[in-house]
Amino acid sequence: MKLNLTIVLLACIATLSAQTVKVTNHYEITPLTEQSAFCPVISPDGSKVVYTAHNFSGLKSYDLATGEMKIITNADGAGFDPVFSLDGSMIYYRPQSRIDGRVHRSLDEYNLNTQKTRQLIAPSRDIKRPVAIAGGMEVVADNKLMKSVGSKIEGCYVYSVIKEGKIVVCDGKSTRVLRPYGDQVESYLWTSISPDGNKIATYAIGKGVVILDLNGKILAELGNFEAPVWYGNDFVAAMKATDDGHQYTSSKIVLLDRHTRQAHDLTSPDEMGMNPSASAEAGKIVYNTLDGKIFMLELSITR
Amino acid sequence: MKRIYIVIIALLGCLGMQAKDMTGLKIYINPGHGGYDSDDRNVAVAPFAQGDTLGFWESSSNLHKGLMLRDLLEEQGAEVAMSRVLNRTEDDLDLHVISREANEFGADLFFSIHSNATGTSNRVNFPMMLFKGYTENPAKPEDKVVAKILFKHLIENEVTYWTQTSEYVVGDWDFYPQWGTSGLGVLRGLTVTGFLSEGSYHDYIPETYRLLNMDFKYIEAWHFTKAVMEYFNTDGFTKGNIAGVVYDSRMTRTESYVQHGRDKQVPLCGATVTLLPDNITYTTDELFNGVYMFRDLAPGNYQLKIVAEDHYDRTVDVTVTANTISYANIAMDRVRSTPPEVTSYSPIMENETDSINCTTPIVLNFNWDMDVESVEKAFSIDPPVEGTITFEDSQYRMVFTPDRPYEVATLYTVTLDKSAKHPGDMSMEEDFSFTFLTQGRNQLKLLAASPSEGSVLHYPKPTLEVRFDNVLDAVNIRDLITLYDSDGNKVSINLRSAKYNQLDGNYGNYYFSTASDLVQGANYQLRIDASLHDVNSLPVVDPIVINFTAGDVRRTEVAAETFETADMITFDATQSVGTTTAKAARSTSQKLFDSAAYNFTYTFNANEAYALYTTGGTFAGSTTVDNTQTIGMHIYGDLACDEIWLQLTSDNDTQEVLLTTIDFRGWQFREVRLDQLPDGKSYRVSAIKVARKSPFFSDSGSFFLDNMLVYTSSGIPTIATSKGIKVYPNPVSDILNVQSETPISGMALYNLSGYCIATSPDAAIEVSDIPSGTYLLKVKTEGNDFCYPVLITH
Repeated sequence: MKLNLTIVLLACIATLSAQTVKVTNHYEITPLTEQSAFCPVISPDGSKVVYTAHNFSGLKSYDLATGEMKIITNADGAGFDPVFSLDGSMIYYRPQSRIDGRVHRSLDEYNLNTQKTRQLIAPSRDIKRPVAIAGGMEVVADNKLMKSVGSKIEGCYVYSVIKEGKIVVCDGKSTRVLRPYGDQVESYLWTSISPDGNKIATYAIGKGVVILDLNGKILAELGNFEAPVWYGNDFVAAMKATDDGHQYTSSKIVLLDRHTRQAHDLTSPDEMGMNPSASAEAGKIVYNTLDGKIFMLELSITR
Repeated sequence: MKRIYIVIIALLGCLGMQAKDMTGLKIYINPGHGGYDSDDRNVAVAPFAQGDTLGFWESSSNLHKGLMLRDLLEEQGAEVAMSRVLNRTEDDLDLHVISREANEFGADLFFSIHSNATGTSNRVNFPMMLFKGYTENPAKPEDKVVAKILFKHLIENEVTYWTQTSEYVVGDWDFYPQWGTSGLGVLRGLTVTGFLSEGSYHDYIPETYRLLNMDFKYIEAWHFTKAVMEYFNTDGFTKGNIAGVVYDSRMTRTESYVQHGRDKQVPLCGATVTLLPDNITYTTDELFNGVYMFRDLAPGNYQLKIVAEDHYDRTVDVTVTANTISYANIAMDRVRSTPPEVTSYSPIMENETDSINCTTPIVLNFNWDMDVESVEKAFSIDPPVEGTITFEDSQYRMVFTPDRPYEVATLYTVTLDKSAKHPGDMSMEEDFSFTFLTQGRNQLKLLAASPSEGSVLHYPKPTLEVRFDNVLDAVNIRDLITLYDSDGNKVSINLRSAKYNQLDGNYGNYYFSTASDLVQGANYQLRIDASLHDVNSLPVVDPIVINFTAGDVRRTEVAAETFETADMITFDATQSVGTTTAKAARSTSQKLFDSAAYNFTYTFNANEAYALYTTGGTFAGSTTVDNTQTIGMHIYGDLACDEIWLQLTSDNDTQEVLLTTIDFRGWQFREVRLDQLPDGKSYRVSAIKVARKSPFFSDSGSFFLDNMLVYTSSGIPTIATSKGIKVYPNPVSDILNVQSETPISGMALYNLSGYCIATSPDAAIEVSDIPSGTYLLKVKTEGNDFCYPVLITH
């Protein structure tokens, strides 16, 4: 009942905005087999969700239509930034291990149809987050762009370098460094490229969520939100958490319009929504709460 | 062949010994809080005011440690990222951002640097490590492994003072159960190994001052680095350090904040510590911590020369080894250049007629802090008094507290002979002596109590009262005068009924009612603590225990007089002495039987006084009494300790018998045998008389009478006591003695069957041949007989 009321209120608030953003449905999808689940990632068609445990160990897939749950891996660190292939049949993830005390990550591919895993990159000290491209994925590992489908498939890849204030754009032919805020910003986080490959969404420490073009030009500053992920090419889903220095005190999920710079609240702060993952194709955003429940937001956006 | 093996082994050994620094290691440092804002923690210590950014702020302290840790790690080759390097509100990143940055950085280890606070008056100091998960079930087991390593290193810090050293490494889900499994926000989103360090307690004020010293914070950062070295198995430091605190060997801090152990000693500001042979000097800061440190020293032997104002110089040897901090906390002795002397003392008599309270401690103040042992030996008091000597104000003050009050009206001479010395080994040049005269009282005395020892107290919510020879100090009085049942359980009292008063003549009392009825037949104890004292601080000295039994005092035989009829008794002023007003009236407010009792009130204006109330012709109907009978009366007393007499009249003969002393409060049944009446004559109760007796607690009094009984006297004397008679010892095994204010004409001892088994013409009676048991001693005095229970034991 409380949830329904929240939906109504948020839908009304969103409707008042210039863009009409409606939450048409808002419901919990935590698998019954789980006491808690975190960091959900939704498949491009919105039919599946992968999620992990509170400590990022293991990765499981959950079919929203059938309720079927599959264990992809129990590996440590596998739950940190897994990626679906564009057709939703593959999961790319980075198991974590320690060699001589130092953290290493490998890159594994899991086929949801055959339920088979293969290691694409052996444990390494520097493997960035993979990005889905047509037929597979691309990733920067040890400063080299690698593609699972051969270099002929085009795909622009972006990543940021912590404490160096830079975003690196590489397309397999050239690499260029973007410093959109110069020395003002030390780190860019949650950096990702838009589905159309033309824009970058990132979180610039001290600036908030910003949209850049591939040359580093600032297209939009969308405000002090965190964890931006693309929702289509015009919107970014993000979160806004507050804390008292020790614990989180509130957190909400928002949808940011890169054109109007408007922030549409999708959940209320006391629901403690975090870690959004979005599929504009399916009109869905999933997120987890602080206590490990996974929720689904279904959106309707009209201009 | 053998030679080849040796070469191979040697090569392997060299490989094993190959230097291994932190190159390639990624460490993320999060100095907690930031910005001197509401999310920060400020502890105001002098000379800094609340809010002064130069004072202690956790954000600043954490940042200093973090920056020094960064430098130490980078010197070892590690790659370090920090969540902030400045201390502005905007540098204090959201927790979600901090953990994300550490994750994207690919940190091998995440440090969140904090310090702790109790936030209460209980001040402690020890490190605490928090990791994600339950203590015995960490979310990421490596978090706990490295947290334990760090605790082990932090606790090695000897510049601080730890109030406990046992390992304190806990999961945040256990430590913050109110947050469920949410835990600390900064650990929540970490994929990398990490923990939160509460390095010490910044609201333990001596630690607050230390945390204002940069070298002290460096020590924590240095221990952090050592933990990283151990966890990643990298090379240790090739150099060593010396650190410690310079403090006075005897002087203690005068500030009121909590201090533990060595922190009680005064840290020396402005002391210089010179490292020899390097000849490098460190001057301790002015922030009351005494901390010094020499960093990055080549291993070897060193000397420290310490110079502090008004203290003897000291030189200490210190050996420095690589990868360690050699701790040398240095106690400095003060220079005491003149002989000790007493600068002031107490008690002082203001004039020759002055006198001193018998509990006053003796205080000697000195010009130097004194040597305890020599002062204790040099101190004497004549006449001798047992007591305890303590020292205060860093041994500048000696206090002698007598174990028991001094004797009354006694001239005491206090002497400190000249052998008393200070730690500089100089003695006093002359003996010191003074005298004081004590006052006339040295003890708070209990004058009356209801219940009295061995008595029966009427059970329904009784009021218990004690009266003393001075007004009581009411502080904690409810805890000092208490009621217990026979199982040792405290009996609840009606708190609103508990009162203390100043009575006439400066006497004092305290009374209370029980919250519930007492259990009939059960034994109770009224306990008065030895520390109960009066407004002049005189204590009762020894604890007082009054044993009594709860019971129903009502006698249900047919009453000769029920006191139900009004106007039977009239105050007769002409036959009274020293009485201002008096009245006898039927009263329904306080009754034991039926509808009413009689209330007798009176006000005296002289010490020798009595009020006579004459009875009308209808009193007790036509009942007469003779010397074979006993009159029993139900009496509600007020503990005035006055006496109630019955006047008996037969024609022209009038006799008076003592019914009771009003040494009780509430209802009692008291009886008087009429043995003293002449044989063969019948008497009627013609009057009731109340006579004033000391102590004179009040000019006014009030008592009630209800159902009067008349019956044939038994062979057993009834208990009738007098305050003027003392029977001792009791229990007795040989000679039973009686001390009386009035002459004794004889004594007789009865067993409980009423048989007289021994007599004596004087005030002593031999009981050594009488079997053990309870007996009744009848004491005959001029005019009255009294009777006391006696216990004979062998």
